[in-house]
Amino acid sequence: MTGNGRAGDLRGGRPPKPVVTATGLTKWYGLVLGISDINLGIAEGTTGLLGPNGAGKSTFLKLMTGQIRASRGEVRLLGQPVWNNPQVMARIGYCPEQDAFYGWMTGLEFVTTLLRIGGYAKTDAEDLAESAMRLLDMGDAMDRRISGYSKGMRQRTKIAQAIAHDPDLLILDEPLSGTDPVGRVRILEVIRRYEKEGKNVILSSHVLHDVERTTRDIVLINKGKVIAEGDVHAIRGLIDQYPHMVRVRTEESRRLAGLLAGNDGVVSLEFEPGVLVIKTSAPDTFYGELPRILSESNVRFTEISSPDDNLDAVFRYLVE
Amino acid sequence: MATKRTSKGAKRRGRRIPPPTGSQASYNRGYALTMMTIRSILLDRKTWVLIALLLLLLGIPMRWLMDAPSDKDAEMEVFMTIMIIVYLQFIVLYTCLLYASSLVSAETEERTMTYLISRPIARSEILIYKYIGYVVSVFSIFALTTILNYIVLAPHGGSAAFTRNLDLLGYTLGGILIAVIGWGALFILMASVFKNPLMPGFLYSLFWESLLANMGGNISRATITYQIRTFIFNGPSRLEDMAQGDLPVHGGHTPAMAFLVTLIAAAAFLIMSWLFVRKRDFN
Repeated sequence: MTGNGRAGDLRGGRPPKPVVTATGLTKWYGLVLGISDINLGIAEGTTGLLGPNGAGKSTFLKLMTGQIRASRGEVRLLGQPVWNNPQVMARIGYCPEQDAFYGWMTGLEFVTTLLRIGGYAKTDAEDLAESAMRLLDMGDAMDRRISGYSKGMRQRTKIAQAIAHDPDLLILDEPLSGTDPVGRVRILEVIRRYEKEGKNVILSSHVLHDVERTTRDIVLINKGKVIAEGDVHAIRGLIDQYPHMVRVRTEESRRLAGLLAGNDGVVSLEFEPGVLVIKTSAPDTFYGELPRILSESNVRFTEISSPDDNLDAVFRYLVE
Repeated sequence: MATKRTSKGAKRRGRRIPPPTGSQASYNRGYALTMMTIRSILLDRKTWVLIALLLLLLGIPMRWLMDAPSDKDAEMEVFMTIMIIVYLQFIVLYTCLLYASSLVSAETEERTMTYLISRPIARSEILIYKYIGYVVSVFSIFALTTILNYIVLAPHGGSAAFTRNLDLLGYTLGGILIAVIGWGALFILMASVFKNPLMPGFLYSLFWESLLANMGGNISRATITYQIRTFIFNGPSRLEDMAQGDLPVHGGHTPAMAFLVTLIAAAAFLIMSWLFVRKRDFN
């Protein structure tokens, strides 16, 4: 990745041959800022676009796919400008976040029709659509109406329409959202296979774990700005510099706090009604210790949660 | 569910089919999008409600036939009254509003426009092919029920009247085509300008195409209704008397001229629509 003017630059050793370049890219929705002055080059291979909900990821992808027009600046895909340039769309495949379909079509008709709208002849479009649907394990369901599909099946159908024409650049917006475990594995396999074939993938997600399973190269977006980019492990390290928060819902907060007070990794303990909030600087050790302490002391609890699983918390740490 | 499909796709899997270019690709795009629009209109529940309503309206000529007078050509007066007053001044107008204004806005609201925009197809092509799909499907529905009305009424005048009055049927179908073309393009323009085009479209239909078109004078010429009437009433000479004094028509215009004026207006509306759509964000 190549970029400038960002909060953090944690890049790996990729050659600087960008498939996407954004220059001063800004988008306003009336008085609301979508993204602000993004200068970025995304290199070949797979890149994860990571950020909490509402960070500006989808706005960036919509600008990238010509859905919306930049208020300022420019975005180029594979060296070509995007806005009102349908030619470049032949080389990309886009899976949008929204669960939108022509519900009256079957899955196969949906993919075939979109290929035909892309200019393919009927027989070619049918063959390509069928291949893509089968690749995503939708062979048995492809002749059924989309309106009867589960969320996971609809997600796989969206991905099928994005990959069916074998594009040079695949842009996936939250592709694993709402998928069942089997579908999730299949989608990840397809993405990895795609990269192995030398193609480019941009995958947007608000779940760090999903991105980590497909690539090491990530771009972090928050509040419409790129705040860091580069190797995911470096980002992880950065995140680990900050204390992780764990919330235990229990009526015995004070007794549990007494038991945890001497633990090396515990930075602070806070009380909320019915909840003990623990901050730890050694999350890996702490997550191993906590169940043992709860079990041995017989402290009754109803829920353990970590807001740190949510990228919002991570981003709060990064921008502090 | 096990599929019985013979997998041609599987045979070709792994072999890249290059993206098509040129006029063949353009034809494929146009055909696919037009057919998709036609299918979506014909499968729409409101289309079936419309067809049911139009079939129910066949009750009007059927009721008239029960105590029909023996006047020569009386059945054609009934036919033309149904077509001009019920169809063209009311049902066709509001059907065009409903379908044409939703061609773009339905795709936007249902967020399916994303799939079209991210394909190698220009926004102008999307607009044109969807418009063609709308014209073909909406005109077909009205043509079919118009012909049914004719088939019900025409035999009253005898077998000779059935063929003698085919010109009336032809001009009526032409008038419906003008209506679908002209109003369709206008309502697409409204849908390109307004986020919710139904209300401005309804007000336009009510005040401009219904009230203004019947006021007479030069101002009524600026309506699609005027062109439709000019087309129909300047056609078969026996219809001229029916138009005199009741409905404003352009005496000097031939039906071909009315058709041409409508086509030019529709083209202008579509170009203006494209000017709006090409700048528009589709979230």
